[in-house]
Amino acid sequence: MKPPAAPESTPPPGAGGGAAESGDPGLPGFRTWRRVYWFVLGCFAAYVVLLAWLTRLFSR
Amino acid sequence: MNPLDYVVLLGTMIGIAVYGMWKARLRHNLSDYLRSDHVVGWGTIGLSVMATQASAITFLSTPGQAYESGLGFVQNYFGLPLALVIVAAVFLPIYRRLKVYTAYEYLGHRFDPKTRLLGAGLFLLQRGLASGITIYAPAIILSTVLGWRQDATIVLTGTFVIIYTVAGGNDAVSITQKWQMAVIFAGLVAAFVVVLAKIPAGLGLGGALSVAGGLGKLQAVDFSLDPDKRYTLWSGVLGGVFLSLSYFGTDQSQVQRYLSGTSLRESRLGLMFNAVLKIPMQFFILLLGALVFVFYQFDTPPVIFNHAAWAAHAQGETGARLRALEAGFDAAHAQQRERIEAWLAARRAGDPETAAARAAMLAAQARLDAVRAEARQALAAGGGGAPTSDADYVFITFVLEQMPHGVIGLLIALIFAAAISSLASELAALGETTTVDFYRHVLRPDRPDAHYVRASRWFTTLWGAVAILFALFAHLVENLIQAINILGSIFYGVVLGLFLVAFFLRRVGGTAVFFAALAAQALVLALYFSLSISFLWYNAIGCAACVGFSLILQTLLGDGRRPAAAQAA
Repeated sequence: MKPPAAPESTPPPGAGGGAAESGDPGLPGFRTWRRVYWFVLGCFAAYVVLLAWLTRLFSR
Repeated sequence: MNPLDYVVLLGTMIGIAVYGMWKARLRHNLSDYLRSDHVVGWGTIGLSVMATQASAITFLSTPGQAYESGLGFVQNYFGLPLALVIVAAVFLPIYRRLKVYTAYEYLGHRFDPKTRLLGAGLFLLQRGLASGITIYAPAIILSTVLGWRQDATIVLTGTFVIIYTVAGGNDAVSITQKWQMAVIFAGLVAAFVVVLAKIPAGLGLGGALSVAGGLGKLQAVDFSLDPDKRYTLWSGVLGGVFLSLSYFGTDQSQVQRYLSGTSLRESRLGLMFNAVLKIPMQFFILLLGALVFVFYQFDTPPVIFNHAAWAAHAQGETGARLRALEAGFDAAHAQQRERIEAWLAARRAGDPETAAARAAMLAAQARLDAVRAEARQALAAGGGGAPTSDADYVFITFVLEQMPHGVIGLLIALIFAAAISSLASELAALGETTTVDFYRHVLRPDRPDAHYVRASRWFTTLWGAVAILFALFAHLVENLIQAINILGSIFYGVVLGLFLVAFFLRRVGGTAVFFAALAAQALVLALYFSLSISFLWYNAIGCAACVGFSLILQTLLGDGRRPAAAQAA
C-alpha cells in the first residue's frame, strides 16, 4: 500500500518553518536557534545543580 | 490600608489601564485588534506570557506554600523550559506560517472544520469556567483580610478588565501586562527588602537561610523516586513538560500572546525569555515565603492566619477550645524560639552538641505544627470546608501587619495586577476564539473586518460577564479551586492529544482524530467517575488515549490523506 502523503498545508514535524528555523537568531554568540535552545536547556541544568547545592548546603 | 496605600493602588492600576488604552487606540481591523498586527517586540511578549501565567493566587499562595512546605514547589516548573523549546521549535513556526488567529484554526487546516470546532469548544468550556476563578480566588482572600465586600470586589475587578480589554484589544492587553509585570517585580523586590530588614539584627541573609534550612524549608530538589512524594525532580520534569506543553502550545490565552510578535524571532525570544527566567522567578517568590517563615520564628505568628475565620469561630461554641489552642501555640512558639537561638549559638561556637540542639529545635517545630494542625481541624469541624487554605493568608497577613504604608498599597497593586493581567488574556482569548472559530467560521463568514472587531468586543464583554457571574456564585461549590483544576485536567489531555496527532502523526486524518478525541474524552470521564486516582493523571490518560485511538481508527479507516484543496479551505 502506498504510504499516505503529507497534507500540503502542513510542514513536516520538526521542520519548524524551514528557513526560519535555520535563520540567525540575531543574538551575540548564537548563530543558530539550535544553539539558543541548548543554551536554555543548559540554564535549566545549571538551575537544578544550584538548587541541589543550596539544598545540601543549608540542610546540615 | 490608609489613604496613601489607596492612592498607590488606584493610581497604579488606573494609570496602567488608561496608558494601555491610549497606546492601542485606532485599532480598526481584525488583525490589529486581535493580533496587534504583529507589532509587538520580544520583551513585551516575554512579559505578557509571564503575566498571563502568573495569576494573583500565584503571589498569594506561593509564599505560603514555602512557609508550610519549603522550596520543593519550585520543581513543579522544571518541565517548563523543555516545553517552551518544543513550542518555539515546532508549534510556533507552523502557527505563524499559516497566519492563524487561534491555535484551533490550525486544527482546521490540518484536519477538518469539525476537529477545529471540537478543539475550540473544549478550550471555551475549560477556560470560560477558569476565568471565573481568576477573579474569585483573589477576591475571597482580599475581601476577607481587607474587609471589602466580596461581591463588589468581584464586580469592580471584572468590569475594570472588561473595559480596557474591549476598548484596546490585544495590543492594550500586551502593553498593560508589560507595566503590570513592572509593578509585580517592584513589589517583590520591595517585599524582599522589608522582610530582610525585619529579620532580627545580627542574623542577616546567611543566618536567615541557615534557620530556614535547619528547619527543612530549603529542600529545593528531591531526587527521590517515591511516587507518593508530591514534588520531586522526576515528577517535575516529566509531569511539568506535559502540562506546560498543553498550556503554552494549545491554550489560546498563551498562543495569542506570542503570535502577536513582529516576527518569528520576536515570538521565539519572548518564549525563551520565559524558559530562562520562570524558574528563578518562582524560586524568588518561594524564597520570600521561606524568609517570612524565618521572621515568624522570632515574632509570634497567629495560630491561624485567616483572622476573619478565627474571629468568627472564637466567639462561637468552639471558642474556648480555640483560645486554649492559641495559648498552647504561644507557649510552644516561645520554646521554639529558645531552641533556635540555642542551635545558632552552638553552630557559631562549633559546639559538638550542635546536632542535638538541631534535633531539639526540630522537635519543637513538630509540636508547633501539631498545635496548628489541631487548630485547623477545630476550625474545619466548626465551620465546614473552605475554598482556600490557611497558607493563602500567610503572605497577605505579613504584608498588612509588617509593611510600611505605601509599600502595602504597592503590594496590593501587585496582587491586583496579577489578577487582572491573567483575566485580560483569558477574556481576550475567549472573545477571539468565539469570533474566529465559531462566529466568522460557522455563523457569519465573509463580513468586513469592522464587523468582526465589533463582534469580538461583544463576545469579550459576554465572557467577562460570564466570568463575573460564575465568580459571584462560586461559593456554592465546595473546594472550588480543586474542582476547577480537576475540570482542566479532564479536558487538557485530550486537547494536547489532538495537537500532538496533528504535528507528529502524519498518516492520521480528521475523521479518525475527531472520533478518537470524543472516545478519549468519554474514557477520561468514565475513569473520573469510577476511579479515585490523582486528577493530574487524567492529563496523561486523555492525551495517550487520543493518540492511541487515532492510530487505531486510522488503521481501520485506511488512508488519512485529504485533497490539498480541502486542506486550504
